[in-house]
Amino acid sequence: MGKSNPGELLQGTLPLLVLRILYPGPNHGFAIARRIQALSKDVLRAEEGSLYPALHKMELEGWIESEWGVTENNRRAKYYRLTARGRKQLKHETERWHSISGAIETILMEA
Amino acid sequence: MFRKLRLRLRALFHRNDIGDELRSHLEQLTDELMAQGLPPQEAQIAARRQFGNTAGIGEQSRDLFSFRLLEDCARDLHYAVRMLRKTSLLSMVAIISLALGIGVNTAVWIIYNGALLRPPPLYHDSARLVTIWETPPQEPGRLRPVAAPVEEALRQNTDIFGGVAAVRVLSGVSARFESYPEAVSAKSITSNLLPLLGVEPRLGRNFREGETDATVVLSHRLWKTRYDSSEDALGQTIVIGGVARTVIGVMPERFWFADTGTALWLPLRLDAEHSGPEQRDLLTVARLLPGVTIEQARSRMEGILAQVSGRYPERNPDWGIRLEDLIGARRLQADSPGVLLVAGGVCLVLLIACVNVASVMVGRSIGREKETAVRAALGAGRLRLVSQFFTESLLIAAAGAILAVPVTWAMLAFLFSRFLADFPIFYDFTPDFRVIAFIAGIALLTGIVSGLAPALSQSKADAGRALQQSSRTITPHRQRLRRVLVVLEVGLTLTLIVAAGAGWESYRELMVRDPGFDTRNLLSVRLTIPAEKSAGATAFTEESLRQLRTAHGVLSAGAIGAPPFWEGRMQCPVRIPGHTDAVVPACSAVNPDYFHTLGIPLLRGRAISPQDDEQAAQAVWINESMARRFWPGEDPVGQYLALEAEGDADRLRQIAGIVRNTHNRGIMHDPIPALYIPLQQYPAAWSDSLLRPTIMLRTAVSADQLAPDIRSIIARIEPDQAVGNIAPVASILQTAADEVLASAVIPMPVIAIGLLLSALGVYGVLAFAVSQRTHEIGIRIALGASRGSLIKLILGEGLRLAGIGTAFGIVAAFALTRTLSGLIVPFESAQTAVFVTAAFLLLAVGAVASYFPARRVLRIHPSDALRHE
Repeated sequence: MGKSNPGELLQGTLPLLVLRILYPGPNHGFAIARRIQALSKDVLRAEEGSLYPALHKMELEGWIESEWGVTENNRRAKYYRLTARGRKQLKHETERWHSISGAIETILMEA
Repeated sequence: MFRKLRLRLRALFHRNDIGDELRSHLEQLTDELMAQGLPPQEAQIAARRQFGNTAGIGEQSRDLFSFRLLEDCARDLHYAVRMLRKTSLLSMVAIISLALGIGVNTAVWIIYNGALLRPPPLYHDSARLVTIWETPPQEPGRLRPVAAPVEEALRQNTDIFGGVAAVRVLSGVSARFESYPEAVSAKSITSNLLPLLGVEPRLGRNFREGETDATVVLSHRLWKTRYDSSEDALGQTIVIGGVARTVIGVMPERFWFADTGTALWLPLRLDAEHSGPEQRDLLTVARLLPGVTIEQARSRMEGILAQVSGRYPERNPDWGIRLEDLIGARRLQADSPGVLLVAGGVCLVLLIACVNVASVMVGRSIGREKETAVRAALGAGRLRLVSQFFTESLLIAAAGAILAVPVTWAMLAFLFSRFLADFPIFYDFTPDFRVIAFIAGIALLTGIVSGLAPALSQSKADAGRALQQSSRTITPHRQRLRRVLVVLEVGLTLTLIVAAGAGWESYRELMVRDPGFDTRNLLSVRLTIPAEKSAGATAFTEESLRQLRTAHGVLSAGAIGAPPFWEGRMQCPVRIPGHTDAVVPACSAVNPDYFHTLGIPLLRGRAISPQDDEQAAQAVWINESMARRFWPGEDPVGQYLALEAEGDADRLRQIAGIVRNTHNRGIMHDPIPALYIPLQQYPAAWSDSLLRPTIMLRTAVSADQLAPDIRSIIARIEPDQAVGNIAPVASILQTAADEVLASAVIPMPVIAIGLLLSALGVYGVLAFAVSQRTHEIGIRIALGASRGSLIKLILGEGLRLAGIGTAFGIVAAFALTRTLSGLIVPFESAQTAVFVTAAFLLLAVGAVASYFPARRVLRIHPSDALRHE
């Protein structure tokens, strides 16, 4: 009923969000998903089907590193941490996002 | 770079990593739900529902990480085996096709490898062996033996060659094992030949340097047949060419040099001879010193040539010198056209087999559209799907390759028993790694190429559509691809058949060709006079004729200086006043009775007679071809020509008569211009040609009865003259025709295989179509169509395929035979009859192949068919 799917938009910006969320410190997949949901006040939801492939791809690119660890609930989970390259990538992606969204804003207002 | 590799390696060893990660996520989700108050069971279910498709996510991620080949290969293989067992019939078609195609090709390759690509057995370190040749003026590609001065010069280059040995092929050697002299094949070798080649005698010893005793070394085969492989052979004497020689050794079993069949090895002492630079009769082999390359050796050749020319100014400076490695020389000397033909035919069969396999693969992919679509929907990447197909086709290829081994064996057995009976002793035909590599390579290639067909035609759009439709609809363009392949196959087979048919035609034609003379009761006796006795050759020949004429049962005797049918091999330069272009007819010396004995009619002028001796005016006789070629429209009788021989170039000879043509270049070829010179008037400079006279006898009784008499008559004149082949001319003709038949027969099994493959191809497509259209057929039957009309439908389709293929094949075969008959002389272009027969054959095969699937239609019950999906 008119509820637009935020999924597609999220797809392209998911790496950006993940990088930002990992900026303060390492975290695991489940927590990252919850954090995105929480920080965006439930507007954005990272589906597992997109999150994990994205995480693995980012790991291959070298933006994040992974290590198995234990959560607060004593569960085994794979923790991801930002690398130096990742930090650079975060800066780059942030700038890009600002320029694109700025451009869209402009069009929406002018046209 | 390494990061990715490291990650992939880690993923490989921790294969469950991703699964664990996802499971951990699931657990945490479950915890969260339980924390919200759900009971554990429900929490788990809810969590899973929220989570989505684990499998798909896992697969995507795995794709990112995995060593595709390693992980998926194993899985693909397992799956492929299961699939193959399910579609066993179709798979068998592919596997058998491949086995036949690969097997036949491998057999031919083994022979080629053994005969032409491998060094002769027993030679040590043959890579360092080279052979040196002289090349005639204006023919740098032709290899001829060298003269002694060249060999001497080679020997002096001790910084390049570790040793130089020479071999002379002897002719006219007679050996007396029993009471009469027999012609044997013999070679004389320098004492350093065996050490140079790295070969040790099987028994006894090699010749010693500087040894002057009359010695001989036996070949292994001679030792086995004449001396029962007994050690007593050593020390015995054999009278060879009138000289008693002591046997001092026996060669090892597979030893050979330059050709097969040498029976006796005699010592060669070049320092005792003084042959000049124009006597070129030495085969040389040299061993390169370690560190010396062939290029270095080759660059030395010019210098050597200069040396020899400097020392022997009488040497013809237009002769070149050439160095070749052992194998290179063999390949240069090998006969090409026959090899090419066989190789071509066999490749064609492989092509047909590949087409079959491709067709099968496409067919299988059609039936599995639905399955493929589901897998694609589950998240398998395109590459994964394609690799699945690849694995299946590789599996088929591997099975085909394994099955090819007994096919190869059978083909080799067939070839050896019929045509290559002699070879195994002297060539090395044991398969080596090259052959294995060949089989593996072809199998791999075929697997990849035929797997490509269905893989490429697969697209995601098809997958989506296939899911929606039921499996009874077939993607039209893929079925069409299969049809195209079958048509191609049929066409190729037709080409094969036509090619073989043309060969058969040639054979048949030979049988009816008129050789130009009367072949009934005609005996030919081949003699080879040793070079030392060349001065008396003419006298000996005439005396033999005189005595043979009086023998019981002999009606007339004639002689010619060349073997029957092959006089055309001896050509000589002739000068015709008034003609400026080169004239090189075949020329032979004949005695006065020759034409009469053979029954060659005189067409114009006068007959040759005993009065045409050295005192009389010089006269020659020519055949029709020569008359037509050089005196078109005029009468050559009475005109003059001169033979371009040393000391004869100015002596004009008058043409005294024209005789009818005979086939002087073998039965296959048209007669070439020929010149006949009376024996007594033959130029002295060409006296070497008189060393191989053939005596022709017209007899009243059969050959076997006369043979002993002939031998004893000749032995009375010259006790040590070996008498060569005594054979009826009719059987010589038959043998020549048989050789042509052989080349027509060799393709037979190959053609049979090609036909079988085509039949399999047609059957495969049709059987498949019937099974796919069971549903449709059921409907038709239910709607009232008669079985008969349906059978006709299927049959019609099969015949249409065969028909189109035949049409295409006829065009291709026509083009092919036209080009081939230009390249390969004995290849007559095929008659219409061959084309028609081939077409009928293929259509019949197509009909038979369609019959079985058509019959299946009878067994379809409409109710079952309608339910069939």
